[in-house]
Amino acid sequence: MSDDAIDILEEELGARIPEGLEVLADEELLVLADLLAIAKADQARELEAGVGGSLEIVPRLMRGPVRKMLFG
Amino acid sequence: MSLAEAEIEIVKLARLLRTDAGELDFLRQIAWRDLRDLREQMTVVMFENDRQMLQRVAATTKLVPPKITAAIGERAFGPLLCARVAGLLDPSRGVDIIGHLPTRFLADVAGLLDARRASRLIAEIPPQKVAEITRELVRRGDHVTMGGFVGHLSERALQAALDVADDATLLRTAYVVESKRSLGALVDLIPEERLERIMRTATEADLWREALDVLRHVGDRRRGMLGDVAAAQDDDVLAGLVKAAQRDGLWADVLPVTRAMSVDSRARFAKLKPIQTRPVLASIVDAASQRGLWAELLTLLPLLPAASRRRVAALGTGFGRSILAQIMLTAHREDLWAPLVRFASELEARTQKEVATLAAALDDDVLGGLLDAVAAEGLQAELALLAGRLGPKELRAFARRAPAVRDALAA
Repeated sequence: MSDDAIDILEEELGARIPEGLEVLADEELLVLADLLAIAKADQARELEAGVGGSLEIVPRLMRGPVRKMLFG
Repeated sequence: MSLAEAEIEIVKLARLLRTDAGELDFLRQIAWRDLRDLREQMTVVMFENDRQMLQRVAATTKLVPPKITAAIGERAFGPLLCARVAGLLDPSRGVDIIGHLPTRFLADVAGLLDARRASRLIAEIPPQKVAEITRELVRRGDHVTMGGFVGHLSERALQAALDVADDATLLRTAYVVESKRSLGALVDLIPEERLERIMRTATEADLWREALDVLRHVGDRRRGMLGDVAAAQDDDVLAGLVKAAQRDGLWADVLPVTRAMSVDSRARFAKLKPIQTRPVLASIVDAASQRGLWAELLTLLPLLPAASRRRVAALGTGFGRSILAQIMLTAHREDLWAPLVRFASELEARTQKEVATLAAALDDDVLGGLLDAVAAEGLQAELALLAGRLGPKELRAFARRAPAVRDALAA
């Protein structure tokens, strides 16, 4: 492992990695960093789509207040 | 055990990252505690990244009727986002919403939920609903998810889950329970007849590794009770236990169980035919030696048939002075001098001399304990045999310190 690979994973984590992970090879640390980055992006995208989709299901009368609650 | 725990962590991490556990195979070399810390860090990231929006979504559930919220959850958000929001819901509102969701969807959500973050909600899910979700998880063979819920469910809900899970599922789930401290409470809910059936299943489905893991994690009282239930089973069930322990190296888990069980149960166990073979006895002695389970071994030894005791004594020939000193320290601490003196009297002469040399060098109060046990159990002949292995000078010194040694030799 190199400091670079650890830095990239720690940036995704927003924290120091557990010490035991330092035995991993660079490409393994980067796999973890990539998977986490993808999972975060997917979740954000699904959340956005879900919020949009939810407004179509909420009865018309409630949409205003719900929209306000969601988007301020 | 750490390998199984690491595997469980990898499965959970893979679910969090929405990938196959196989993709994370390289993590098998990492200690499970580090994997658990990594999963916790990643879980925090996944929540914190969208916390604001997730909280707003949770807040709208107070405005929108549960039935419509359930429809939104199922059709617009999907199981992953529902799992993320679950921990942010007011528990009673969450239960209302759950009541409108189909079981299969709830099982999907359960698989993605971080139970610790949704503990208050999980505790309020009605037993009937828990039973339905459990039935679906059993059908899927999703033991990891079920194991994550133990320790968060109410007692009635846990009972309902137990009622719909078959015995093999129960063993497999107990093995992967996240909160091992909860296993005692789980065991308390299972009637004795079912525990007996579970022991039989452990043999028939080759699940003793899983069953012994439960016995390892419960307290002494429950371990003894479960040990008694096990020891009361037919020979074929216990033969399955011995076979699994021998094959998978589980004697370090079995020995504490034999110590916790009643004397009658231990006697039955000690007389089992499959125990008496040299390889099994060697594995038992090896486990005791590696894990310092001398008290367990000393408790079991007197109950073994004479031929097996001699086999163990032959294995003890290889004990060096430091191991013998450890055993004597255990005998002192655990008041097990009598079985030790009996065992030592069956060792070969050279090892007996080592034992006698160590005994002669014991502190007064420790030696006093040994001599009290000799007097109480009528072991003067055994003591004389051991002391007789000392050279004349050492023997005189020992006899001067302990008149009981002189009396024993004279007798």
